[in-house]
Amino acid sequence: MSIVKVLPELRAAGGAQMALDAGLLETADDVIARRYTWAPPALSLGKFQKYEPVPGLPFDVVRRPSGGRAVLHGEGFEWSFAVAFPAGALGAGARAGLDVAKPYDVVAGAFAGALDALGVTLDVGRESAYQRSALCFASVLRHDLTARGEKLVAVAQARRGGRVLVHGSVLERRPPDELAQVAETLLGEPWQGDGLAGAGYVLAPEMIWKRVLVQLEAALQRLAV
Amino acid sequence: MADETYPQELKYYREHDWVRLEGEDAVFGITWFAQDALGEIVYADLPDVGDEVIAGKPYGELESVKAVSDVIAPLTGEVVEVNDALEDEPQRVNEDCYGEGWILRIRMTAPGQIGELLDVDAYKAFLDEA
Repeated sequence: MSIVKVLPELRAAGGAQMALDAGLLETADDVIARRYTWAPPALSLGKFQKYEPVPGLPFDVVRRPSGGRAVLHGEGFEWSFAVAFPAGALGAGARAGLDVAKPYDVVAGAFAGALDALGVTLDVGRESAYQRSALCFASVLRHDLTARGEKLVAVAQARRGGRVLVHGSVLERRPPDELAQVAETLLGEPWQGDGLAGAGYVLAPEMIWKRVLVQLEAALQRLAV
Repeated sequence: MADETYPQELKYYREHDWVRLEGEDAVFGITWFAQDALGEIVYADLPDVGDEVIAGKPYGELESVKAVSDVIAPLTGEVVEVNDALEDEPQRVNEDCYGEGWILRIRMTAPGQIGELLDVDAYKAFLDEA
Protein backbone atom coordinates (compact mmCIF):
# COMPACT_ATOMS: atom_id res chain seq x y z
CA MET A 1 0.00 0.00 0.00
CA SER A 2 1.29 3.46 -0.83
CA ILE A 3 2.45 5.65 2.02
CA VAL A 4 1.96 8.85 0.04
CA LYS A 5 -1.61 9.96 -0.67
CA VAL A 6 -1.66 12.19 -3.74
CA LEU A 7 -4.23 14.94 -4.15
CA PRO A 8 -5.43 16.03 -7.61
CA GLU A 9 -3.59 18.91 -9.20
CA LEU A 10 -5.25 22.22 -8.45
CA ARG A 11 -5.26 25.51 -10.36
CA ALA A 12 -6.49 28.25 -8.04
CA ALA A 13 -5.73 31.64 -6.51
CA GLY A 14 -2.94 32.01 -3.98
CA GLY A 15 -5.23 32.56 -1.00
CA ALA A 16 -6.96 29.24 -1.59
CA GLN A 17 -3.67 27.44 -2.20
CA MET A 18 -2.15 28.69 1.04
CA ALA A 19 -5.34 27.91 2.97
CA LEU A 20 -5.12 24.35 1.68
CA ASP A 21 -1.47 24.01 2.67
CA ALA A 22 -2.23 25.46 6.11
CA GLY A 23 -5.10 22.95 6.41
CA LEU A 24 -2.75 20.08 5.62
CA LEU A 25 -0.42 21.31 8.36
CA GLU A 26 -3.28 21.30 10.85
CA THR A 27 -4.96 18.02 9.93
CA ALA A 28 -2.81 15.61 7.86
CA ASP A 29 -2.93 12.11 9.32
CA ASP A 30 -1.23 10.58 6.27
CA VAL A 31 1.67 11.74 4.15
CA ILE A 32 -0.14 13.90 1.59
CA ALA A 33 1.40 15.37 -1.55
CA ARG A 34 -0.05 17.76 -4.06
CA ARG A 35 1.04 19.82 -7.06
CA TYR A 36 -0.57 23.16 -7.83
CA THR A 37 -0.49 26.22 -10.04
CA TRP A 38 -1.34 29.81 -9.23
CA ALA A 39 -4.06 31.66 -11.16
CA PRO A 40 -3.94 34.64 -11.08
CA PRO A 41 -0.21 35.13 -10.43
CA ALA A 42 0.81 35.84 -6.85
CA LEU A 43 3.72 36.92 -4.74
CA SER A 44 4.01 34.73 -1.65
CA LEU A 45 5.79 36.06 1.43
CA GLY A 46 7.36 34.18 4.30
CA LYS A 47 5.19 34.12 7.43
CA PHE A 48 7.21 36.81 9.17
CA GLN A 49 8.60 38.68 6.17
CA LYS A 50 8.08 42.45 6.41
CA TYR A 51 5.81 43.96 3.77
CA GLU A 52 3.88 47.22 3.33
CA PRO A 53 0.62 46.63 1.39
CA VAL A 54 0.44 48.44 -1.95
CA PRO A 55 -2.79 48.80 -4.01
CA GLY A 56 -3.14 48.09 -7.73
CA LEU A 57 -0.59 45.31 -8.11
CA PRO A 58 -0.73 42.96 -11.13
CA PHE A 59 -0.64 39.95 -8.79
CA ASP A 60 -2.10 38.77 -5.47
CA VAL A 61 0.08 39.00 -2.38
CA VAL A 62 -0.33 36.13 0.08
CA ARG A 63 1.45 34.88 3.19
CA ARG A 64 2.74 31.35 3.43
CA PRO A 65 2.50 29.37 6.68
CA SER A 66 6.23 28.66 6.18
CA GLY A 67 9.30 30.81 6.55
CA GLY A 68 11.70 32.13 3.94
CA ARG A 69 11.53 34.96 1.47
CA ALA A 70 9.30 36.19 -1.37
CA VAL A 71 8.45 33.94 -4.33
CA LEU A 72 6.66 34.99 -7.51
CA HIS A 73 4.20 32.35 -8.68
CA GLY A 74 2.23 32.01 -11.91
CA GLU A 75 1.33 29.80 -14.82
CA GLY A 76 3.85 29.51 -17.61
CA PHE A 77 6.92 30.18 -15.51
CA GLU A 78 6.47 28.38 -12.19
CA TRP A 79 4.58 25.59 -10.41
CA SER A 80 4.33 24.60 -6.77
CA PHE A 81 4.00 21.54 -4.58
CA ALA A 82 3.35 20.60 -0.96
CA VAL A 83 4.09 17.51 1.10
CA ALA A 84 2.56 17.16 4.57
CA PHE A 85 3.88 14.65 7.10
CA PRO A 86 1.93 13.55 10.19
CA ALA A 87 3.79 13.27 13.50
CA GLY A 88 6.21 10.37 13.50
CA ALA A 89 6.21 9.87 9.72
CA LEU A 90 9.88 10.76 9.43
CA GLY A 91 11.19 8.66 12.27
CA ALA A 92 10.44 7.77 15.87
CA GLY A 93 12.08 9.11 19.00
CA ALA A 94 12.48 12.44 20.72
CA ARG A 95 15.16 13.69 18.38
CA ALA A 96 13.25 12.99 15.15
CA GLY A 97 10.32 15.15 16.23
CA LEU A 98 12.25 18.40 16.02
CA ASP A 99 14.60 17.68 13.14
CA VAL A 100 14.22 20.47 10.58
CA ALA A 101 16.76 18.96 8.20
CA LYS A 102 15.07 15.57 7.72
CA PRO A 103 11.87 16.74 5.95
CA TYR A 104 13.98 18.90 3.64
CA ASP A 105 16.29 15.97 2.96
CA VAL A 106 13.36 13.72 2.03
CA VAL A 107 11.55 16.20 -0.23
CA ALA A 108 14.59 17.83 -1.82
CA GLY A 109 16.08 14.36 -2.20
CA ALA A 110 12.99 13.23 -4.12
CA PHE A 111 13.31 16.22 -6.45
CA ALA A 112 17.03 15.63 -6.88
CA GLY A 113 16.38 11.99 -7.82
CA ALA A 114 13.60 12.96 -10.23
CA LEU A 115 15.62 15.68 -11.95
CA ASP A 116 18.66 13.44 -12.17
CA ALA A 117 16.52 10.74 -13.84
CA LEU A 118 15.43 13.36 -16.38
CA GLY A 119 19.02 14.22 -17.23
CA VAL A 120 19.46 17.39 -15.15
CA THR A 121 22.96 17.76 -13.75
CA LEU A 122 22.53 19.39 -10.34
CA ASP A 123 25.18 21.55 -8.69
CA VAL A 124 26.71 20.25 -5.50
CA GLY A 125 27.42 22.29 -2.38
CA ARG A 126 26.29 25.71 -3.53
CA GLU A 127 24.97 27.74 -0.63
CA SER A 128 24.70 31.43 0.22
CA ALA A 129 23.91 33.22 3.47
CA TYR A 130 20.31 33.11 4.65
CA GLN A 131 18.22 36.23 4.20
CA ARG A 132 20.80 38.12 2.23
CA SER A 133 17.97 38.84 -0.21
CA ALA A 134 14.22 39.53 0.09
CA LEU A 135 13.70 37.28 -2.94
CA CYS A 136 13.79 33.55 -2.36
CA PHE A 137 15.21 32.63 -5.76
CA ALA A 138 18.12 35.05 -5.29
CA SER A 139 19.79 33.02 -2.53
CA VAL A 140 20.54 29.35 -2.09
CA LEU A 141 20.35 27.26 1.07
CA ARG A 142 21.55 23.72 1.60
CA HIS A 143 18.29 22.08 0.52
CA ASP A 144 17.60 24.22 -2.52
CA LEU A 145 18.41 22.59 -5.85
CA THR A 146 20.50 24.37 -8.48
CA ALA A 147 21.93 23.57 -11.89
CA ARG A 148 24.56 25.69 -13.65
CA GLY A 149 24.13 28.21 -10.86
CA GLU A 150 20.37 28.58 -11.46
CA LYS A 151 18.09 27.82 -8.52
CA LEU A 152 15.49 25.36 -9.79
CA VAL A 153 13.56 24.28 -6.69
CA ALA A 154 13.02 26.36 -3.55
CA VAL A 155 11.62 24.75 -0.40
CA ALA A 156 10.26 26.08 2.89
CA GLN A 157 8.78 24.43 5.95
CA ALA A 158 6.20 24.85 8.71
CA ARG A 159 5.89 22.67 11.83
CA ARG A 160 2.93 22.53 14.17
CA GLY A 161 1.82 19.98 16.71
CA GLY A 162 4.30 17.42 15.40
CA ARG A 163 3.11 17.72 11.79
CA VAL A 164 5.43 19.07 9.13
CA LEU A 165 4.58 20.83 5.88
CA VAL A 166 7.27 21.18 3.22
CA HIS A 167 6.14 23.21 0.26
CA GLY A 168 8.04 24.76 -2.54
CA SER A 169 8.29 26.21 -5.97
CA VAL A 170 9.83 25.01 -9.23
CA LEU A 171 10.99 27.89 -11.41
CA GLU A 172 10.63 26.95 -15.07
CA ARG A 173 11.82 30.25 -16.53
CA ARG A 174 12.14 33.94 -15.72
CA PRO A 175 8.75 35.49 -14.89
CA PRO A 176 7.29 37.95 -17.45
CA ASP A 177 8.84 41.41 -17.14
CA GLU A 178 5.53 43.02 -16.17
CA LEU A 179 5.47 40.85 -13.02
CA ALA A 180 9.20 40.74 -12.26
CA GLN A 181 9.57 44.51 -12.53
CA VAL A 182 6.74 45.17 -10.08
CA ALA A 183 8.21 42.62 -7.67
CA GLU A 184 11.56 44.39 -8.00
CA THR A 185 9.99 47.73 -7.15
CA LEU A 186 8.09 46.27 -4.19
CA LEU A 187 11.04 44.46 -2.68
CA GLY A 188 13.74 46.93 -3.69
CA GLU A 189 16.04 44.58 -5.51
CA PRO A 190 16.36 43.20 -9.03
CA TRP A 191 14.79 39.86 -9.93
CA GLN A 192 17.30 37.06 -10.11
CA GLY A 193 16.65 33.61 -11.44
CA ASP A 194 15.85 32.03 -14.80
CA GLY A 195 15.20 28.56 -13.35
CA LEU A 196 15.24 25.42 -15.49
CA ALA A 197 15.32 27.34 -18.78
CA GLY A 198 18.30 29.36 -17.55
CA ALA A 199 20.13 26.11 -16.90
CA GLY A 200 19.20 24.84 -20.37
CA TYR A 201 16.29 22.54 -19.51
CA VAL A 202 12.66 22.41 -20.61
CA LEU A 203 10.77 19.75 -18.65
CA ALA A 204 7.02 19.25 -18.39
CA PRO A 205 5.80 19.70 -14.79
CA GLU A 206 3.80 16.46 -14.92
CA MET A 207 6.92 14.55 -15.94
CA ILE A 208 8.93 15.90 -13.00
CA TRP A 209 6.12 15.48 -10.45
CA LYS A 210 5.40 11.87 -11.46
CA ARG A 211 9.03 10.97 -10.78
CA VAL A 212 9.14 13.01 -7.55
CA LEU A 213 6.22 10.96 -6.22
CA VAL A 214 8.00 7.70 -7.05
CA GLN A 215 11.15 8.92 -5.30
CA LEU A 216 9.19 10.17 -2.29
CA GLU A 217 7.34 6.89 -1.88
CA ALA A 218 10.62 4.96 -2.09
CA ALA A 219 12.29 7.21 0.50
CA LEU A 220 9.39 6.79 2.95
CA GLN A 221 9.26 3.04 2.39
CA ARG A 222 12.94 2.90 3.33
CA LEU A 223 12.27 4.96 6.47
CA ALA A 224 9.39 2.66 7.43
CA VAL A 225 11.54 -0.49 7.37
CA MET B 1 27.21 27.83 19.13
CA ALA B 2 28.26 26.34 22.44
CA ASP B 3 28.92 22.64 22.92
CA GLU B 4 26.03 20.33 23.77
CA THR B 5 25.16 20.87 27.41
CA TYR B 6 22.22 20.42 29.78
CA PRO B 7 22.76 22.27 33.08
CA GLN B 8 22.17 20.21 36.22
CA GLU B 9 20.22 22.91 38.04
CA LEU B 10 17.48 23.26 35.40
CA LYS B 11 14.28 21.30 34.85
CA TYR B 12 13.28 20.05 31.42
CA TYR B 13 10.10 19.39 29.45
CA ARG B 14 9.53 16.75 26.79
CA GLU B 15 8.96 19.41 24.13
CA HIS B 16 12.62 20.41 24.59
CA ASP B 17 12.16 23.39 26.89
CA TRP B 18 14.34 24.13 29.90
CA VAL B 19 12.82 25.70 33.02
CA ARG B 20 14.48 27.68 35.83
CA LEU B 21 12.25 27.99 38.89
CA GLU B 22 12.48 31.31 40.76
CA GLY B 23 9.89 31.43 43.54
CA GLU B 24 6.47 31.98 41.97
CA ASP B 25 8.06 32.52 38.58
CA ALA B 26 9.46 30.19 35.96
CA VAL B 27 11.89 31.28 33.28
CA PHE B 28 12.14 29.13 30.22
CA GLY B 29 13.74 28.72 26.84
CA ILE B 30 14.65 25.89 24.49
CA THR B 31 17.35 23.32 25.10
CA TRP B 32 20.66 22.93 23.35
CA PHE B 33 19.23 20.02 21.38
CA ALA B 34 16.24 22.08 20.24
CA GLN B 35 18.25 25.04 19.00
CA ASP B 36 20.66 22.69 17.25
CA ALA B 37 17.84 20.77 15.54
CA LEU B 38 16.14 23.99 14.43
CA GLY B 39 19.30 25.62 13.08
CA GLU B 40 20.05 29.33 12.87
CA ILE B 41 17.06 31.17 14.29
CA VAL B 42 16.20 34.34 12.38
CA TYR B 43 12.86 35.37 13.90
CA ALA B 44 11.01 34.84 17.18
CA ASP B 45 7.26 35.45 17.37
CA LEU B 46 6.48 35.60 21.09
CA PRO B 47 3.46 36.40 23.30
CA ASP B 48 3.01 39.71 25.11
CA VAL B 49 3.30 40.43 28.80
CA GLY B 50 -0.08 39.62 30.37
CA ASP B 51 -0.86 36.77 27.96
CA GLU B 52 -1.55 33.30 29.33
CA VAL B 53 0.54 30.34 28.27
CA ILE B 54 -0.71 26.81 28.80
CA ALA B 55 1.45 23.75 29.44
CA GLY B 56 1.62 21.54 26.37
CA LYS B 57 0.26 24.24 24.02
CA PRO B 58 2.19 26.45 21.57
CA TYR B 59 3.11 29.87 22.94
CA GLY B 60 5.07 31.20 19.98
CA GLU B 61 6.96 30.39 16.82
CA LEU B 62 10.60 30.42 15.80
CA GLU B 63 11.80 30.74 12.22
CA SER B 64 15.01 29.02 11.15
CA VAL B 65 16.30 27.93 7.74
CA LYS B 66 12.95 28.81 6.13
CA ALA B 67 11.11 26.67 8.69
CA VAL B 68 8.49 28.10 11.06
CA SER B 69 8.26 25.88 14.16
CA ASP B 70 5.89 26.17 17.10
CA VAL B 71 7.36 26.26 20.60
CA ILE B 72 5.45 24.58 23.41
CA ALA B 73 4.99 25.90 26.93
CA PRO B 74 6.29 23.63 29.72
CA LEU B 75 4.07 25.22 32.41
CA THR B 76 0.86 27.23 32.68
CA GLY B 77 0.95 30.83 33.80
CA GLU B 78 0.82 34.51 32.96
CA VAL B 79 3.66 36.06 30.99
CA VAL B 80 5.40 38.65 33.18
CA GLU B 81 8.49 39.26 31.03
CA VAL B 82 9.55 38.55 27.45
CA ASN B 83 13.14 38.55 26.27
CA ASP B 84 12.75 41.59 24.01
CA ALA B 85 16.36 41.32 22.88
CA LEU B 86 15.31 38.38 20.71
CA GLU B 87 13.37 40.76 18.48
CA ASP B 88 16.61 42.17 17.08
CA GLU B 89 18.95 39.31 17.94
CA PRO B 90 17.03 36.01 17.73
CA GLN B 91 20.33 34.22 17.18
CA ARG B 92 20.97 34.60 20.93
CA VAL B 93 18.86 31.44 21.26
CA ASN B 94 21.57 29.60 19.33
CA GLU B 95 24.53 31.35 20.89
CA ASP B 96 23.52 31.10 24.56
CA CYS B 97 20.30 29.09 24.88
CA TYR B 98 20.39 28.90 28.72
CA GLY B 99 21.56 32.50 29.27
CA GLU B 100 20.93 35.46 26.96
CA GLY B 101 18.73 33.26 24.80
CA TRP B 102 16.05 32.79 27.48
CA ILE B 103 12.55 33.37 26.07
CA LEU B 104 9.83 33.96 28.69
CA ARG B 105 9.27 34.54 32.39
CA ILE B 106 5.85 33.48 33.64
CA ARG B 107 4.06 33.69 36.96
CA MET B 108 2.93 30.13 37.47
CA THR B 109 -0.78 29.54 37.99
CA ALA B 110 -0.56 25.74 38.22
CA PRO B 111 2.65 25.07 40.18
CA GLY B 112 1.63 21.45 40.63
CA GLN B 113 2.81 20.94 37.05
CA ILE B 114 6.41 21.28 38.25
CA GLY B 115 6.26 17.64 39.30
CA GLU B 116 5.80 16.64 35.65
CA LEU B 117 9.07 18.23 34.57
CA LEU B 118 12.17 16.09 34.05
CA ASP B 119 15.52 16.39 35.77
CA VAL B 120 18.62 16.49 33.61
CA ASP B 121 19.26 12.75 33.67
CA ALA B 122 15.66 11.97 32.73
CA TYR B 123 15.79 14.50 29.88
CA LYS B 124 19.02 13.03 28.54
CA ALA B 125 17.48 9.56 28.70
CA PHE B 126 14.41 10.89 26.87
CA LEU B 127 16.62 12.35 24.14
CA ASP B 128 18.23 8.97 23.62
CA GLU B 129 14.95 7.06 23.36
CA ALA B 130 14.61 5.37 19.97
